Amino acid sequence: MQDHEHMEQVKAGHPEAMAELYARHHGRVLGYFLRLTRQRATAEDLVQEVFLRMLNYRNSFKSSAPFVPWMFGIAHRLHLDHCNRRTLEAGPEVLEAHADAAADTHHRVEHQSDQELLERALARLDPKKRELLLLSREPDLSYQELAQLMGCSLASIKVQVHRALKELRTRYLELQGGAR
Amino acid sequence: MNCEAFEAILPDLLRHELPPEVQCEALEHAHQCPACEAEWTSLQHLWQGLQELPSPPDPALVARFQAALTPMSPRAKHPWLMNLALPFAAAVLLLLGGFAAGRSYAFRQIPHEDARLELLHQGRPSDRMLGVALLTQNGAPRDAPSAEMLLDRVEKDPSPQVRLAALEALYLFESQPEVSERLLKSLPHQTNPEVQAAQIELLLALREKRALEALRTMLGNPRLDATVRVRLQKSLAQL
Repeated sequence: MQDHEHMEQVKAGHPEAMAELYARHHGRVLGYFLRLTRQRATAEDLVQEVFLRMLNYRNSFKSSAPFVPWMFGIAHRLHLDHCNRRTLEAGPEVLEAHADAAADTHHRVEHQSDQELLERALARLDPKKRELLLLSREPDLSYQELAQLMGCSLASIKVQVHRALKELRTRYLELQGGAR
Repeated sequence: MNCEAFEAILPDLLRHELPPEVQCEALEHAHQCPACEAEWTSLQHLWQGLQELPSPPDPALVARFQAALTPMSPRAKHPWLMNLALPFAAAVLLLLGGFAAGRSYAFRQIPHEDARLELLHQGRPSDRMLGVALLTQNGAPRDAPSAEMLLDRVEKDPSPQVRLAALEALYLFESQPEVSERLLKSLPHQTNPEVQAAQIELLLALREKRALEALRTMLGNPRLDATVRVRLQKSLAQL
């Protein structure tokens, strides 16, 4: 059964159909939030909330539309809400403390795999660019769908992804130079 | 194809979203142009790396989620959730609760009041969510002490998600007379606009006339979050 068929069941009053969607997709949503928040507990809570919002907003799912872009649309908005909440509730000093802690992790160790370097380079990007790359790597999310999700044109999204990727390369090479 | 055209189609080339003939032309250009080939090779390497970043499923999360969903099924042996006035709102609470339930509690058992109190004061928001969810479980009393515990969360919990969950749960405690009064008193002290909006909506649902004034005051604030404004305007229109 395909994703949208499970979602139709949820809409028809069978919330248990969400279990299969959760099993299929929670890993990629968890990866998305882990790399955006860099906090396991927060990422896990946000994953739960995405699926919870899907239950709440089940009627906004259109049967003719693909499921994954709708899911990432919810995840994207939830992340924006999360950032707003943090800005509102944590004073500037708390946010700076987080930034310092993140910066400290960048001064770690020497011999690292390409993947670790890439994770660290990604963490050094501006959050918007990081999110753009994390979403653009999703095979079920086209540039067109990404553009709709981000509220910009197709041409603009391609330019933004290209720029973000170039910046990622700069950060990666910096780390590679420092680590080896 | 020239270098400028090659640069322009690189994002599509990385995702293999070009027609085959254009892709061949682009790659042919890259083979003949050292600068474009270097650009292509390095970006492709990074792109490949991004594709391969792990996003592994977490079996523990799946198990918790499934455990939380099971009692919601209409085909479940004990469809206790069907007795609730707000089955989906309760489902939402259950999901959050079920997530934390995997840590320490059997969800279908109603713990002693002390255990619920303990959960409501845990360090992790998801544990406190479980505490809130347990207060709405079928068989749990809809009494003044339970309402008091929820109001306490609305007033004091540092997490807006827990405050929102507690507000959602308070819909089930409408018969408790102190609920409206306490919610009105704590409204000016809420800092999060989403929580404020949810609190006003609950007060309106409880037919508390004084909530209307609070709603209008909130709408009069030019710095009010746009999403919250739309939500409150809808509430006002529905009155």
